[in-house]
Amino acid sequence: MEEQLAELAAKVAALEAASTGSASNTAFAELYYYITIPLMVIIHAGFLAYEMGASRLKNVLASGVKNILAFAFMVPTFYFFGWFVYWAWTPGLFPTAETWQTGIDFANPAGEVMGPHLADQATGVFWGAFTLFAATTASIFSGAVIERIQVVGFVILAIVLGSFAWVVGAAWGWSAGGWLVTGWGYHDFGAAGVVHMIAGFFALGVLINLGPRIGKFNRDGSANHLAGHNLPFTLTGLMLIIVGFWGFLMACVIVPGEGWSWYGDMWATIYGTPVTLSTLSFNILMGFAGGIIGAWMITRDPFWMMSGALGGIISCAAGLDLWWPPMAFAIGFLGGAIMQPAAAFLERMKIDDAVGAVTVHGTLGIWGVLAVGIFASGYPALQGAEGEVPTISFVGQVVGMVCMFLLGFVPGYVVSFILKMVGLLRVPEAAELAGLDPTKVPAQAYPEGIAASASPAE
Amino acid sequence: MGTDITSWDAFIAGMGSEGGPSGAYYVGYGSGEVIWLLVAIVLCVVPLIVGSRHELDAYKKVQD
Repeated sequence: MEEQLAELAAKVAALEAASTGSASNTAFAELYYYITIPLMVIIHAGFLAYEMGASRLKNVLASGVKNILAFAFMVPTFYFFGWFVYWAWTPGLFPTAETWQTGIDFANPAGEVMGPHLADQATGVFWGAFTLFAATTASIFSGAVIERIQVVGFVILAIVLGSFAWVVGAAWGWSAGGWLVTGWGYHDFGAAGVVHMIAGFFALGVLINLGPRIGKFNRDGSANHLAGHNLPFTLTGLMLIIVGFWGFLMACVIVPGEGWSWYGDMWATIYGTPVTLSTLSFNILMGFAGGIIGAWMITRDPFWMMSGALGGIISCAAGLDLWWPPMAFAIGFLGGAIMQPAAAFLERMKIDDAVGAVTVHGTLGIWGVLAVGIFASGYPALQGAEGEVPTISFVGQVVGMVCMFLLGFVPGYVVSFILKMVGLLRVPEAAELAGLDPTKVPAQAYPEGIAASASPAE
Repeated sequence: MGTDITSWDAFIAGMGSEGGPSGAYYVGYGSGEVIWLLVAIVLCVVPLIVGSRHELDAYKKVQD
């Protein structure tokens, strides 16, 4: 017995010595989040291809400029105040003095942790991952408004969405201290509500003020299809977005074993509830596949099939950590199947969403959030003893869904209304008819020419 | 549907103990696996059947 105790004590001492000053786990943790960043940049390569392909010939590069600039402006603005908002806005509409100080401690743009720091090797990679989430919201919004929005007005809107609106949603519902989580058990592992709903409904708010493209709707109310000039480019872009979303969903996980980790030896969600990379592998692939097949069955159209790939993942995203994989397939399938009918409904409301952003992200974001309430009610929403933590519930998911809708729609509508009043929202009619590339872009997309199809109403 | 898990702390602590949880924690554990498996299989087979009809109709139209 004494010998066994001595042996045990020696083992404990050896383990303690090995963990003290060990860089290997810290290096792994930082590398993990560092890698999610270039993976998420692939999302932007994808959105760039997608939007340029969906634009008519005369607007190709203008759409590209808009998309690239949105990403660019997300970086400094998320540094200046976006990261601060995440830490400070957890209590509700306004920060408290305490959460304001938390924001200062973690995200003061003039503070020392927001730069190279040997004792803090985590802030930059977390900030970077969140900045890419912000850029994703801006890209989601970007596609809906192509071919008629002014660049500066668009950038202002993108900053409001990417460095404020969705971050408030994340503080409320994608943080273990957010009031939607602590008070209502809101669960949104992969940000179906926090990113996709907010971005999709922000786009809707803007589209109402922006108006449809010239030639989209006829006097009798019927709609014309304004085909993009390069559908293969759009399809390839969508597939790249899927690649990048693996990075996005990787970044939704908390690595174990660090001082800031939830567990010493287990991966966790942002809420501190367990998850595994095995789970994500099963459910992302099943949701992706279900979305494609559901969209194929309803539409036969490769644009909707690839949108279904993304839509399937979005449909599963909120509960990606919890689904039985065949269930993720079915949830993704339903998401893929309802996209085109939902887009058609929006078109009947005279909303011109050039790429289906409101449908894919907004509508399927709703489905994703509600699916958790329908199928996964009862799970504890946080770590803790039975009865001491909120549980996931349908009502909680509905409350969250309403919040995410409002966080997206209201600022999108209000800010775009103001921009419209001051003449910064929509390009003049002459510019729209002539094309935005010849009007303002100092480069030609296809200087040797490419055959263009005439749009029917022009 | 849903889960019998009432506390993540208790679930994790009980893993590996006699009579304790195996570690599986997905929605519908122990009750819904086969049903959802069948649903997923149907959602693969039905689109193929419907898709095949659409495809053959399309070929027939071209030939006529």
